[in-house]
Amino acid sequence: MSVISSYRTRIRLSPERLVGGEVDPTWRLMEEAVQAAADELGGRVTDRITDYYGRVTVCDFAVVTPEFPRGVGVRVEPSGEVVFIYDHYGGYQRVGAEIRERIAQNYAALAVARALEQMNYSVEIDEAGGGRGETRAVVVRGTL
Amino acid sequence: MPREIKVKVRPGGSVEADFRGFAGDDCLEEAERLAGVLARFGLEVDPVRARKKTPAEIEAETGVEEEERDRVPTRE
Repeated sequence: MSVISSYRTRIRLSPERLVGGEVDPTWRLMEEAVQAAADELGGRVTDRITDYYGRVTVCDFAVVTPEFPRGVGVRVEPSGEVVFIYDHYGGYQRVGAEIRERIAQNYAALAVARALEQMNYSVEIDEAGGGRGETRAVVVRGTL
Repeated sequence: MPREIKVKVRPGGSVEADFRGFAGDDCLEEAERLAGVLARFGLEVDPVRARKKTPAEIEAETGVEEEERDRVPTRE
């Protein structure tokens, strides 16, 4: 029997960034996901965001883009839960959500690729869609 | 036929997994195994829905038409 299954996902990092003196793999994945989102959107990675009033909030990771210079921050709660923080006041709802969704998408794609590799699958990653009016999807294909 | 898992990841991180070439319930076992490994990589997955592929989809993948089999009558 072959099936097609859909899943909701939730990112939960290790509560500690350093485990045994090394960066935990979940934190390394988040670093990669954030960097990829910044590269794809023409932005950069930093550790702080600003709000409408110019107040600064320090985060574990942040992406700042030309379209949204206030930035979207990633904060890891003591439980490992990931919270995205940004101030979208003044018409930045769409660009803020786009950065947040891109980071989560990249994280999920990287996690799937690493998981399939660990299960001894040969892995390829492609993009689908992303044209005008299309939703961009990342396709991870594992072959055994 | 090689086994293949094709995972489509949408913005926001929701995923759709297409298991190809698995016999019987093997795909369900592999899906559970994948979910366990993903959790170790910080990605928790909650199934939203799963559907068996249609005979047409299976035929498109394998080039083989799935046989409709009748239940074998048994004597009470």
